[in-house]
Amino acid sequence: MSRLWGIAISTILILAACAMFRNPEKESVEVTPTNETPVVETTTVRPTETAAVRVHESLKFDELLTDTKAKLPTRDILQGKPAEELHQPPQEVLDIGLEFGKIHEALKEDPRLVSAGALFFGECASQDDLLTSVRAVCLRNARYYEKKDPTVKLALRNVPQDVERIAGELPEPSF
Amino acid sequence: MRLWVGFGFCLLFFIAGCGKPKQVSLKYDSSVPEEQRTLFDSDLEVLDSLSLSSTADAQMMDIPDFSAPSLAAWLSHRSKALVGQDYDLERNVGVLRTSNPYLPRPFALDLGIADRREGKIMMVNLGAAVYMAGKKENWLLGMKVAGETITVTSPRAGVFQIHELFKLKVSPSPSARINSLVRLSILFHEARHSDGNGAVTALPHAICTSGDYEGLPACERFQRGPYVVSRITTEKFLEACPECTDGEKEALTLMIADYRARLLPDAQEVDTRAEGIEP
Repeated sequence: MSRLWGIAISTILILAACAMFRNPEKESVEVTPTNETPVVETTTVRPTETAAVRVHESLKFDELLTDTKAKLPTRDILQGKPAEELHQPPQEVLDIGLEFGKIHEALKEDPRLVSAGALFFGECASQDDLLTSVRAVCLRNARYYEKKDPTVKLALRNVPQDVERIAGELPEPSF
Repeated sequence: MRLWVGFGFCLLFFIAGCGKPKQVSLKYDSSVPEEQRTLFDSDLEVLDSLSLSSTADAQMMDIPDFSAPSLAAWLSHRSKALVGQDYDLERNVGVLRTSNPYLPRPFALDLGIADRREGKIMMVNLGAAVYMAGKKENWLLGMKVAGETITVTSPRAGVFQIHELFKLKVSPSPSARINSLVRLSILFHEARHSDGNGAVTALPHAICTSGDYEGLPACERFQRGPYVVSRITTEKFLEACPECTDGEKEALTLMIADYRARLLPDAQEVDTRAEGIEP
């Protein structure tokens, strides 16, 4: 099974690298001197390397999103917990914060992934079996990343009023 | 001369070792395990180190600002001692006087102390619960804590029982600063239960009428109740933690969202001043 995954990932990497070779000028970053701005240095990046790294990073990020999605706390986690334990936020709610943190860090490292991050948080906000607190934080994050990437247009479904209200009352993100 | 220099150095080391006294001083009953005392001491040091300039919501807690001295003073008025999970309520709580007049008349509000002890509640404001129990019976009760008897004349007796407080954490290391902030937020929540008067003595939680906690006594019906205090203090702690990782900031934000979700839409503004009787 894991060998199959390995073959699939390798194939994607090769295909992506080939695609980049066909149109190399698109990926190379060249700064040409103009009258207005003095140029300090000119950089050229090898296209195959960039594409392969990018695909690899993107796959790693997809994996992170898939893992986080599986860990999103649903209302089911409350079942079976004694009432006294729900006197404070459940541990699972705090734990998912650390997972969200990994997503923010990945997006800071590679802003090209912002649209995927925004979509992830948008889907989380729309998922109606999740805890209200989690949906509200997801909604706030989705809006934050939507503003960062003008190409992203979130289509949020089934977001109840209380989730909207709480998201609007949360502190501004500082990551 | 050499003797005097040596003496001077010793004095200097002694003073440095003493450090700055904490602004909140809690008594620990012998039932509090040593490692929990150490952690709680470090939590109080974290509280002393906080530097907050914002004053938004300060009036909700009747404080001028969120400086460390203001927060410490607020907490000191409401919390006096900690007892451990094994604190024996039956052995340590006694009737000091029967037929004790409580004014206004007692309210029949059973906090179910015995039942709560069975559960995994994080921390219980035992002082407020004992006060309510005495009020119900018209008895003046006393609690033996750390070798001294506390006469419970108001919900501000300030005796908290630690249960699973140290279970809720963000970082795996119990002594991490972020975990101190989480515990402090819970401590402030419990301290708010030391307030209130008449029908709203101890500002008890309400049954949630909708949402994730529907049917559970885990909601807030007071605009300035314990969950609101939790929300405010957690917001301030988030603000005071620029060094927190993104994940830690998100964990605090999720706590804030959880506290906000618990506030009932028809939450009331009530007089939160603590009632009390003459000893």
